[in-house]
Amino acid sequence: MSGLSAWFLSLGGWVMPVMFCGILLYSGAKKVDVMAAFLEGAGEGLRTALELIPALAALLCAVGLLRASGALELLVKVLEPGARMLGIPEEVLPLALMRPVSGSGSLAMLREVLEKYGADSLAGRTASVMYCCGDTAFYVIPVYCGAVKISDSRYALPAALIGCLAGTVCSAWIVRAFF
Amino acid sequence: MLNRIFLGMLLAAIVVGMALGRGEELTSALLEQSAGAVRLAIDMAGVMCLWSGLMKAAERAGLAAAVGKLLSPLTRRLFPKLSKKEQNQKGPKEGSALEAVTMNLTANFLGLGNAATPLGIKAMERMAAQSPKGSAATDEMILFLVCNTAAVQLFPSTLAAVRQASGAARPLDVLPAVWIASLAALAAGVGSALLMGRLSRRREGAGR
Repeated sequence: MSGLSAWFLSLGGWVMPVMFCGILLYSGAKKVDVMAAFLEGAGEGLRTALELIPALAALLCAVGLLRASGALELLVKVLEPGARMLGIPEEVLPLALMRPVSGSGSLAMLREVLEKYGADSLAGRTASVMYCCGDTAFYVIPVYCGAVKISDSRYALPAALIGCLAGTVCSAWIVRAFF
Repeated sequence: MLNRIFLGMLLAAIVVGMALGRGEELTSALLEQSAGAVRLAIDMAGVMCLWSGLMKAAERAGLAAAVGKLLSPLTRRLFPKLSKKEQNQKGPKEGSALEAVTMNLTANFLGLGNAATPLGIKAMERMAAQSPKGSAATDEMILFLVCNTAAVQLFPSTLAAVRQASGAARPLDVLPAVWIASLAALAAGVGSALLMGRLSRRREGAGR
Protein backbone atom coordinates (compact mmCIF):
# COMPACT_ATOMS: atom_id res chain seq x y z
CA MET A 1 0.00 0.00 0.00
CA SER A 2 2.74 2.45 0.93
CA GLY A 3 4.55 1.54 -2.29
CA LEU A 4 1.43 2.30 -4.27
CA SER A 5 0.77 5.63 -2.59
CA ALA A 6 4.42 6.59 -3.00
CA TRP A 7 4.14 5.82 -6.69
CA PHE A 8 0.95 7.87 -6.89
CA LEU A 9 2.62 10.80 -5.13
CA SER A 10 5.63 10.69 -7.44
CA LEU A 11 3.21 11.15 -10.36
CA GLY A 12 2.90 14.79 -9.37
CA GLY A 13 6.56 15.39 -10.14
CA TRP A 14 6.28 13.93 -13.64
CA VAL A 15 3.14 15.66 -14.85
CA MET A 16 4.74 18.93 -15.79
CA PRO A 17 7.83 17.80 -17.74
CA VAL A 18 5.91 15.06 -19.56
CA MET A 19 3.05 17.40 -20.48
CA PHE A 20 5.37 20.22 -21.46
CA CYS A 21 7.59 18.22 -23.78
CA GLY A 22 4.86 15.85 -24.92
CA ILE A 23 2.39 18.53 -25.98
CA LEU A 24 5.01 20.63 -27.75
CA LEU A 25 6.44 17.62 -29.60
CA TYR A 26 2.92 16.48 -30.55
CA SER A 27 2.14 19.97 -31.87
CA GLY A 28 5.36 19.96 -33.85
CA ALA A 29 4.40 16.62 -35.36
CA LYS A 30 1.07 18.18 -36.35
CA LYS A 31 2.97 20.83 -38.34
CA VAL A 32 2.23 23.67 -35.93
CA ASP A 33 4.80 26.47 -35.74
CA VAL A 34 5.43 25.62 -32.11
CA MET A 35 7.80 28.47 -31.33
CA ALA A 36 5.46 31.15 -32.71
CA ALA A 37 2.44 29.67 -30.94
CA PHE A 38 4.37 29.38 -27.68
CA LEU A 39 5.57 32.98 -27.80
CA GLU A 40 2.10 34.28 -28.58
CA GLY A 41 0.55 32.32 -25.75
CA ALA A 42 3.30 33.25 -23.31
CA GLY A 43 2.66 36.92 -24.07
CA GLU A 44 -0.97 36.43 -23.12
CA GLY A 45 0.12 34.65 -19.94
CA LEU A 46 2.35 37.56 -19.00
CA ARG A 47 -0.51 40.01 -19.49
CA THR A 48 -2.76 37.81 -17.34
CA ALA A 49 -0.18 37.80 -14.55
CA LEU A 50 0.22 41.60 -14.69
CA GLU A 51 -3.53 42.13 -14.82
CA LEU A 52 -3.75 40.21 -11.55
CA ILE A 53 -1.84 42.95 -9.70
CA PRO A 54 -4.68 45.44 -9.02
CA ALA A 55 -7.03 42.80 -7.59
CA LEU A 56 -4.19 41.19 -5.67
CA ALA A 57 -3.12 44.53 -4.20
CA ALA A 58 -6.65 45.27 -3.01
CA LEU A 59 -7.36 41.84 -1.61
CA LEU A 60 -3.94 41.08 -0.14
CA CYS A 61 -4.21 44.39 1.72
CA ALA A 62 -7.71 43.56 2.95
CA VAL A 63 -6.62 40.11 4.11
CA GLY A 64 -3.47 41.56 5.66
CA LEU A 65 -5.53 44.13 7.57
CA LEU A 66 -7.92 41.42 8.77
CA ARG A 67 -5.00 39.37 10.02
CA ALA A 68 -3.16 42.29 11.65
CA SER A 69 -6.29 43.60 13.39
CA GLY A 70 -7.07 40.27 14.99
CA ALA A 71 -10.45 40.03 13.24
CA LEU A 72 -9.43 36.91 11.37
CA GLU A 73 -8.54 35.16 14.64
CA LEU A 74 -11.97 36.04 16.02
CA LEU A 75 -13.72 34.64 12.96
CA VAL A 76 -11.67 31.46 13.12
CA LYS A 77 -12.44 31.05 16.80
CA VAL A 78 -16.16 31.25 16.09
CA LEU A 79 -16.04 28.70 13.28
CA GLU A 80 -13.46 26.37 14.77
CA PRO A 81 -15.81 23.89 16.55
CA GLY A 82 -17.75 23.16 13.36
CA ALA A 83 -14.56 22.81 11.34
CA ARG A 84 -13.06 20.42 13.87
CA MET A 85 -16.08 18.17 13.53
CA LEU A 86 -15.47 18.00 9.76
CA GLY A 87 -11.71 17.55 10.16
CA ILE A 88 -10.77 20.88 8.52
CA PRO A 89 -7.66 22.58 9.96
CA GLU A 90 -8.62 25.96 11.41
CA GLU A 91 -5.88 27.83 9.52
CA VAL A 92 -7.63 27.26 6.19
CA LEU A 93 -11.13 28.31 7.32
CA PRO A 94 -10.99 31.83 5.84
CA LEU A 95 -9.98 30.35 2.49
CA ALA A 96 -12.80 27.81 2.62
CA LEU A 97 -15.28 30.66 3.11
CA MET A 98 -13.78 32.78 0.33
CA ARG A 99 -13.49 30.00 -2.28
CA PRO A 100 -17.05 30.02 -3.70
CA VAL A 101 -17.20 33.82 -3.59
CA SER A 102 -14.13 35.29 -5.27
CA GLY A 103 -11.25 33.94 -7.33
CA SER A 104 -8.76 36.70 -6.58
CA GLY A 105 -9.95 36.80 -2.97
CA SER A 106 -9.21 33.11 -2.50
CA LEU A 107 -5.86 33.51 -4.24
CA ALA A 108 -5.03 36.19 -1.65
CA MET A 109 -6.19 33.90 1.17
CA LEU A 110 -4.14 31.00 -0.22
CA ARG A 111 -1.05 33.19 -0.42
CA GLU A 112 -1.63 34.28 3.18
CA VAL A 113 -1.75 30.66 4.41
CA LEU A 114 1.31 29.64 2.37
CA GLU A 115 3.32 32.60 3.67
CA LYS A 116 2.26 32.29 7.29
CA TYR A 117 2.46 28.53 7.81
CA GLY A 118 4.74 27.48 4.94
CA ALA A 119 3.86 25.91 1.60
CA ASP A 120 4.83 22.44 2.78
CA SER A 121 2.98 22.52 6.10
CA LEU A 122 -0.23 20.58 6.64
CA ALA A 123 -2.22 23.82 6.50
CA GLY A 124 -0.36 24.98 3.39
CA ARG A 125 -0.97 21.76 1.51
CA THR A 126 -4.62 21.58 2.58
CA ALA A 127 -5.13 25.17 1.45
CA SER A 128 -3.49 24.38 -1.90
CA VAL A 129 -5.77 21.44 -2.58
CA MET A 130 -8.80 23.34 -1.36
CA TYR A 131 -8.03 26.28 -3.64
CA CYS A 132 -8.20 24.00 -6.68
CA CYS A 133 -11.24 21.89 -6.03
CA GLY A 134 -13.97 24.39 -6.66
CA ASP A 135 -14.66 27.49 -8.67
CA THR A 136 -16.52 30.63 -7.69
CA ALA A 137 -20.14 29.43 -7.69
CA PHE A 138 -21.43 32.86 -6.71
CA TYR A 139 -19.84 34.27 -9.86
CA VAL A 140 -20.22 31.52 -12.47
CA ILE A 141 -23.90 30.84 -11.89
CA PRO A 142 -25.12 34.48 -12.14
CA VAL A 143 -22.91 35.17 -15.17
CA TYR A 144 -24.01 32.10 -17.13
CA CYS A 145 -27.66 32.50 -16.20
CA GLY A 146 -27.63 36.24 -16.84
CA ALA A 147 -26.19 35.70 -20.31
CA VAL A 148 -29.30 33.79 -21.38
CA LYS A 149 -31.77 35.87 -19.32
CA ILE A 150 -32.53 33.18 -16.77
CA SER A 151 -33.51 34.77 -13.50
CA ASP A 152 -34.47 31.62 -11.57
CA SER A 153 -31.48 29.33 -11.17
CA ARG A 154 -33.56 26.96 -8.99
CA TYR A 155 -31.36 24.49 -7.11
CA ALA A 156 -28.11 25.33 -8.96
CA LEU A 157 -26.46 27.24 -6.12
CA PRO A 158 -27.29 24.76 -3.31
CA ALA A 159 -26.05 21.84 -5.44
CA ALA A 160 -22.84 23.72 -6.33
CA LEU A 161 -22.25 24.62 -2.68
CA ILE A 162 -22.72 21.01 -1.58
CA GLY A 163 -20.05 20.07 -4.12
CA CYS A 164 -17.81 22.82 -2.78
CA LEU A 165 -18.25 21.68 0.82
CA ALA A 166 -17.54 18.07 -0.15
CA GLY A 167 -14.36 19.22 -1.90
CA THR A 168 -13.26 21.21 1.14
CA VAL A 169 -13.76 18.34 3.58
CA CYS A 170 -12.20 15.88 1.17
CA SER A 171 -9.11 18.09 0.71
CA ALA A 172 -8.47 18.08 4.43
CA TRP A 173 -8.87 14.30 4.69
CA ILE A 174 -6.73 13.48 1.66
CA VAL A 175 -3.88 15.75 2.62
CA ARG A 176 -3.86 14.23 6.10
CA ALA A 177 -3.85 10.72 4.60
CA PHE A 178 -1.13 11.41 2.01
CA PHE A 179 1.37 13.60 3.83
CA MET B 1 -20.77 40.96 -4.45
CA LEU B 2 -17.02 41.32 -4.33
CA ASN B 3 -17.38 45.00 -3.54
CA ARG B 4 -19.47 44.26 -0.46
CA ILE B 5 -17.07 41.59 0.73
CA PHE B 6 -14.12 43.93 0.28
CA LEU B 7 -15.86 46.67 2.25
CA GLY B 8 -16.93 44.16 4.90
CA MET B 9 -13.34 43.01 5.33
CA LEU B 10 -12.11 46.60 5.68
CA LEU B 11 -14.82 47.47 8.18
CA ALA B 12 -14.17 44.39 10.32
CA ALA B 13 -10.43 45.08 10.25
CA ILE B 14 -10.64 48.73 11.27
CA VAL B 15 -13.24 48.13 14.00
CA VAL B 16 -11.42 45.18 15.58
CA GLY B 17 -8.04 46.84 15.04
CA MET B 18 -9.17 49.98 16.88
CA ALA B 19 -10.67 47.93 19.68
CA LEU B 20 -7.39 46.07 20.16
CA GLY B 21 -5.22 49.15 19.50
CA ARG B 22 -3.24 47.72 16.62
CA GLY B 23 -2.58 50.83 14.53
CA GLU B 24 1.09 50.08 13.89
CA GLU B 25 0.35 46.55 12.75
CA LEU B 26 -2.36 47.76 10.38
CA THR B 27 -0.01 50.32 8.84
CA SER B 28 2.73 47.84 8.17
CA ALA B 29 0.21 45.29 6.83
CA LEU B 30 -0.96 47.83 4.25
CA LEU B 31 2.53 48.76 3.11
CA GLU B 32 3.82 45.21 3.09
CA GLN B 33 0.88 43.61 1.32
CA SER B 34 0.62 46.14 -1.49
CA ALA B 35 4.29 45.60 -2.31
CA GLY B 36 3.69 41.87 -1.86
CA ALA B 37 1.00 41.92 -4.56
CA VAL B 38 3.54 43.07 -7.15
CA ARG B 39 6.16 40.57 -5.98
CA LEU B 40 3.66 37.72 -6.10
CA ALA B 41 2.46 38.61 -9.60
CA ILE B 42 6.05 38.83 -10.87
CA ASP B 43 6.94 35.52 -9.22
CA MET B 44 3.91 33.88 -10.80
CA ALA B 45 4.40 35.41 -14.23
CA GLY B 46 6.99 32.90 -15.43
CA VAL B 47 4.88 29.82 -14.79
CA MET B 48 1.84 31.50 -16.27
CA CYS B 49 3.77 32.40 -19.45
CA LEU B 50 4.95 28.83 -19.73
CA TRP B 51 1.49 27.38 -19.38
CA SER B 52 -0.30 29.80 -21.70
CA GLY B 53 2.38 29.27 -24.33
CA LEU B 54 2.01 25.53 -24.05
CA MET B 55 -1.76 25.72 -24.31
CA LYS B 56 -1.61 27.94 -27.37
CA ALA B 57 0.46 25.31 -29.17
CA ALA B 58 -1.92 22.58 -27.97
CA GLU B 59 -4.90 24.52 -29.28
CA ARG B 60 -3.32 24.94 -32.72
CA ALA B 61 -2.48 21.24 -32.86
CA GLY B 62 -6.15 20.40 -32.35
CA LEU B 63 -5.50 18.88 -28.95
CA ALA B 64 -8.55 20.49 -27.35
CA ALA B 65 -10.78 18.86 -29.97
CA ALA B 66 -9.10 15.50 -29.33
CA VAL B 67 -9.65 15.74 -25.57
CA GLY B 68 -13.25 16.77 -26.28
CA LYS B 69 -13.73 13.57 -28.26
CA LEU B 70 -12.35 11.60 -25.31
CA LEU B 71 -14.79 13.28 -22.93
CA SER B 72 -17.85 13.01 -25.15
CA PRO B 73 -19.00 9.53 -23.97
CA LEU B 74 -19.04 10.97 -20.47
CA THR B 75 -21.00 14.10 -21.37
CA ARG B 76 -23.45 12.08 -23.48
CA ARG B 77 -24.24 9.98 -20.43
CA LEU B 78 -24.48 12.97 -18.09
CA PHE B 79 -26.79 14.87 -20.45
CA PRO B 80 -28.99 12.14 -21.95
CA LYS B 81 -31.78 14.56 -22.84
CA LEU B 82 -29.50 16.76 -24.91
CA SER B 83 -28.02 13.87 -26.85
CA LYS B 84 -31.46 12.33 -27.48
CA LYS B 85 -32.78 15.59 -28.88
CA GLU B 86 -29.83 15.88 -31.18
CA GLN B 87 -30.19 12.33 -32.48
CA ASN B 88 -33.73 13.16 -33.56
CA GLN B 89 -32.54 16.24 -35.41
CA LYS B 90 -32.10 15.77 -39.14
CA GLY B 91 -29.30 17.20 -41.21
CA PRO B 92 -25.97 18.48 -39.98
CA LYS B 93 -25.69 19.00 -36.24
CA GLU B 94 -24.91 22.65 -36.25
CA GLY B 95 -25.62 24.51 -33.06
CA SER B 96 -25.31 21.33 -31.05
CA ALA B 97 -25.78 22.07 -27.35
CA LEU B 98 -24.03 18.89 -26.33
CA GLU B 99 -20.99 19.84 -28.37
CA ALA B 100 -20.77 23.27 -26.74
CA VAL B 101 -21.12 21.63 -23.32
CA THR B 102 -18.32 19.19 -24.11
CA MET B 103 -16.03 21.92 -25.45
CA ASN B 104 -16.60 24.08 -22.37
CA LEU B 105 -15.88 21.23 -19.97
CA THR B 106 -12.76 20.37 -21.99
CA ALA B 107 -11.52 23.95 -21.81
CA ASN B 108 -12.04 23.90 -18.05
CA PHE B 109 -10.29 20.55 -17.74
CA LEU B 110 -7.25 21.90 -19.59
CA GLY B 111 -7.30 25.16 -17.63
CA LEU B 112 -8.11 27.37 -20.65
CA GLY B 113 -10.03 29.88 -18.55
CA ASN B 114 -10.31 32.48 -21.30
CA ALA B 115 -11.80 29.98 -23.74
CA ALA B 116 -14.12 28.37 -21.22
CA THR B 117 -16.42 31.30 -20.47
CA PRO B 118 -17.54 32.13 -24.04
CA LEU B 119 -18.02 28.41 -24.75
CA GLY B 120 -20.05 28.05 -21.58
CA ILE B 121 -22.31 30.93 -22.51
CA LYS B 122 -22.77 29.42 -25.96
CA ALA B 123 -23.73 26.12 -24.35
CA MET B 124 -26.30 27.91 -22.16
CA GLU B 125 -27.74 29.71 -25.20
CA ARG B 126 -28.13 26.48 -27.15
CA MET B 127 -29.74 24.71 -24.22
CA ALA B 128 -32.13 27.62 -23.81
CA ALA B 129 -33.02 27.45 -27.51
CA GLN B 130 -33.75 23.72 -27.28
CA SER B 131 -36.09 23.77 -24.33
CA PRO B 132 -37.70 27.14 -23.68
CA LYS B 133 -38.83 27.07 -20.11
CA GLY B 134 -39.15 30.78 -19.56
CA SER B 135 -36.93 32.37 -16.97
CA ALA B 136 -36.20 29.21 -14.96
CA ALA B 137 -33.10 27.08 -15.50
CA THR B 138 -33.67 23.55 -16.83
CA ASP B 139 -32.26 20.50 -15.07
CA GLU B 140 -29.61 20.14 -17.79
CA MET B 141 -28.51 23.74 -17.36
CA ILE B 142 -28.15 23.24 -13.63
CA LEU B 143 -26.11 20.08 -14.08
CA PHE B 144 -23.91 21.98 -16.49
CA LEU B 145 -23.47 24.88 -14.04
CA VAL B 146 -22.54 22.48 -11.27
CA CYS B 147 -19.94 20.77 -13.49
CA ASN B 148 -18.50 24.22 -14.18
CA THR B 149 -18.23 25.22 -10.53
CA ALA B 150 -16.54 21.94 -9.57
CA ALA B 151 -13.57 22.88 -11.77
CA VAL B 152 -11.75 19.60 -12.36
CA GLN B 153 -8.39 20.62 -13.78
CA LEU B 154 -5.66 18.42 -15.19
CA PHE B 155 -2.95 20.92 -14.38
CA PRO B 156 -3.76 23.81 -12.01
CA SER B 157 -1.25 26.34 -13.33
CA THR B 158 -2.14 29.14 -10.92
CA LEU B 159 -1.62 26.83 -7.95
CA ALA B 160 1.72 25.69 -9.35
CA ALA B 161 2.77 29.32 -9.72
CA VAL B 162 1.75 30.37 -6.19
CA ARG B 163 3.33 27.34 -4.57
CA GLN B 164 6.53 27.96 -6.48
CA ALA B 165 6.48 31.62 -5.43
CA SER B 166 5.89 30.63 -1.79
CA GLY B 167 8.96 28.41 -1.69
CA ALA B 168 7.46 24.92 -1.76
CA ALA B 169 10.16 22.26 -2.05
CA ARG B 170 8.14 20.36 -4.66
CA PRO B 171 5.30 22.67 -5.74
CA LEU B 172 3.39 19.91 -7.51
CA ASP B 173 3.50 17.17 -4.87
CA VAL B 174 -0.15 18.00 -4.06
CA LEU B 175 -1.32 17.27 -7.59
CA PRO B 176 -2.71 13.74 -7.02
CA ALA B 177 -4.54 15.03 -3.94
CA VAL B 178 -5.98 17.87 -6.04
CA TRP B 179 -7.32 15.42 -8.63
CA ILE B 180 -8.99 13.20 -6.05
CA ALA B 181 -10.50 16.09 -4.10
CA SER B 182 -11.86 17.79 -7.23
CA LEU B 183 -13.38 14.56 -8.48
CA ALA B 184 -15.03 14.13 -5.07
CA ALA B 185 -16.37 17.68 -5.26
CA LEU B 186 -17.67 17.02 -8.78
CA ALA B 187 -19.32 13.75 -7.75
CA ALA B 188 -20.99 15.35 -4.74
CA GLY B 189 -22.19 18.33 -6.79
CA VAL B 190 -23.53 16.22 -9.66
CA GLY B 191 -25.08 13.71 -7.25
CA SER B 192 -26.93 16.38 -5.30
CA ALA B 193 -28.02 18.14 -8.51
CA LEU B 194 -29.52 14.90 -9.86
CA LEU B 195 -31.20 14.23 -6.52
CA MET B 196 -32.64 17.74 -6.23
CA GLY B 197 -33.81 17.55 -9.84
CA ARG B 198 -35.70 14.36 -9.11
CA LEU B 199 -37.22 15.84 -5.95
CA SER B 200 -38.41 18.96 -7.76
CA ARG B 201 -39.95 16.90 -10.57
CA ARG B 202 -41.80 14.80 -8.00
CA ARG B 203 -43.09 17.94 -6.30
CA GLU B 204 -44.32 19.34 -9.62
CA GLY B 205 -46.03 16.04 -10.39
CA ALA B 206 -47.81 16.04 -7.04
CA GLY B 207 -48.99 19.64 -7.50
CA ARG B 208 -50.74 18.85 -10.73
